Amino acid sequence: MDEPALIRSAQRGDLEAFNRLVLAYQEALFSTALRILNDADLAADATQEAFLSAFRGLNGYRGGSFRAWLLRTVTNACYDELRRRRRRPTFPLVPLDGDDEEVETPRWLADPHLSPEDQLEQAELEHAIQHCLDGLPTDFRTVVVLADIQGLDYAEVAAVLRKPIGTIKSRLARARLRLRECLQAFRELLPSAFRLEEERGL
Amino acid sequence: MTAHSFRDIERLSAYLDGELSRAERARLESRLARDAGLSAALDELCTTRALLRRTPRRRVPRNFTLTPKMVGLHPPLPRAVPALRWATVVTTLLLFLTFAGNLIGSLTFGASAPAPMEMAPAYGGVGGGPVENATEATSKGLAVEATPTGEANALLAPAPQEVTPAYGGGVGGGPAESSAETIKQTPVPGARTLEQPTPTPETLTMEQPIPPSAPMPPEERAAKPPFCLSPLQVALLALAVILGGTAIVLRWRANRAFAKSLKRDE
Repeated sequence: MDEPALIRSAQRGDLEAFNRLVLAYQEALFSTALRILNDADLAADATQEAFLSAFRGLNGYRGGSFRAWLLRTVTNACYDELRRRRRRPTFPLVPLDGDDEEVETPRWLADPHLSPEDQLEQAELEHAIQHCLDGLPTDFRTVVVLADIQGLDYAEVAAVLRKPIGTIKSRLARARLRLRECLQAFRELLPSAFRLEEERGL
Repeated sequence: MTAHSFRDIERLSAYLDGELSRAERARLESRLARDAGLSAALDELCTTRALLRRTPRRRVPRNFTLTPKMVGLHPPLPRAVPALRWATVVTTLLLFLTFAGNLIGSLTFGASAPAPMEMAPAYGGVGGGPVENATEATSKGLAVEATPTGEANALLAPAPQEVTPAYGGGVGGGPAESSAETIKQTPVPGARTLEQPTPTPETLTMEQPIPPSAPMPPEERAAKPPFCLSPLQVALLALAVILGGTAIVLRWRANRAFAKSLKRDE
C-alpha cells in the first residue's frame, strides 16, 4: 500500500483511496476506542465518527505519522463520548447468555480460530486489563493505551495528545505503576505465559 | 519498589521504552547493577508492560469504510447544467418582466381614459373634425354606458376595433357612409345631415338610438380569453421550459450514472 499516494488521492476527495486507508487502520482505531471507552458499541460509533471526521479534515493533515494523526481523531471522539456520558449517564445494556444471565465480557468479537481454552485465557486477561484500565484517570488511560497497547513512541503519543513529551513520560510511569498494583490482584488468574521477565533484556 | 522514588520509576519506565539519553541510560544501568531493589522494580514494570502489550486485539465488528452518502458526496454535475440553470432563471425573469410591463401599461392607460374609448363608436367619427359640446356628449355617453371602471379597463384595447365596423364609426375621420345613411333614413326636422361639418351630440343621441350592445356583450366577453400572450412571451416561456427541462434531464442522467457506478463498486 502506497500510503502517501493514497493520502494525496483522498485529500483530492477520492473516497475509494480513503477507504483503503480505513481498512488498514480500522482495527487500531477500534481497539484504541474500545480500551478507552470499554464499550464495543460506543467504540464502534467513535471509530466511525473518527474516520468521518478524518476524511472531512484530511486537508489539515500536514505529514508525519498518519497513524498517529488518525489516533488523535479517535481519541478526540472518545473524549467527546466520555464527556457526553458524564453529562447524561446511561446504563449499558449488558448482553445476556442463554440462561438470561449477564455476560460480563462480550465474547462475540473474540477470534473464533482460538481454542476454547485460549479464548478463555484471553478473555480473563482482557477482563483483568480492562478492569485495571478503567480504574485509571482518562488521561493516564489514554497514554497507556497509545503507548503500550498501540505501540506508539513518546513523540507520537505527545503529538496525538498535544502534550509535552515530559508529561507523557510522567503519565505513563504513573499509569504503569498503578496498573502493576492493580494487576497483582489478578496474578492468580493470569496465565504463566504472560509473566515475561525475559523481556527485561530489551 | 515502594522504596524508590517516583523519579526512579519514571526513569525505569523511560528506560524500558528506550527514551533515555545515552548518559542517563549509562547512569541507570550502573545503578541497576548495584541495586537489586531497583532491578526488581524494573522487572515488575517490564512484566506490566508486557501484559499490556499482549492485550488481546478485538476484531472489528464491521468495516468502517465511508459511503458517499455518509460524507455527503454528490454526483459530478454535468458542465452544461449550471449554464442551463442560469439561462432558465434569466429567461423566466424576462418573462415576468414582460408580464409586469403589460400590467403596468394597462393600469396606466386604463386609469387615464377609459370611457371615451368605449364611447367612440357610438357617436361615429369622433376624429372627423371639431366636435362641439364634446364634453356634453361624453357625459351623456357615460350616463348611457355606465360601465364600471374595472370593466372598462379590461375591455379597453379591443373595444374600438371591434365595435367600429358595426356602427361605421370612422374613427380616423374617413367617410362614414353607413352612419350617414342611418342619419338620413331618420329625417327629423331640424336635424343636420352628415354634409354638415359637425353634428351636434343632441342630434345624434336623439336620432340614432344607442345600440344595446355598445358595451361588449357578455357572451363575447366570455369567449374572449382573460389575457393573451404576446409572441415574445410565448417564445420566452417555451425557452424557459426547454432550458429548465434540459437541465433536469441532464442532472437526472448524471445521478443515475453515479448510482450505477456506486452499485458496481459495491
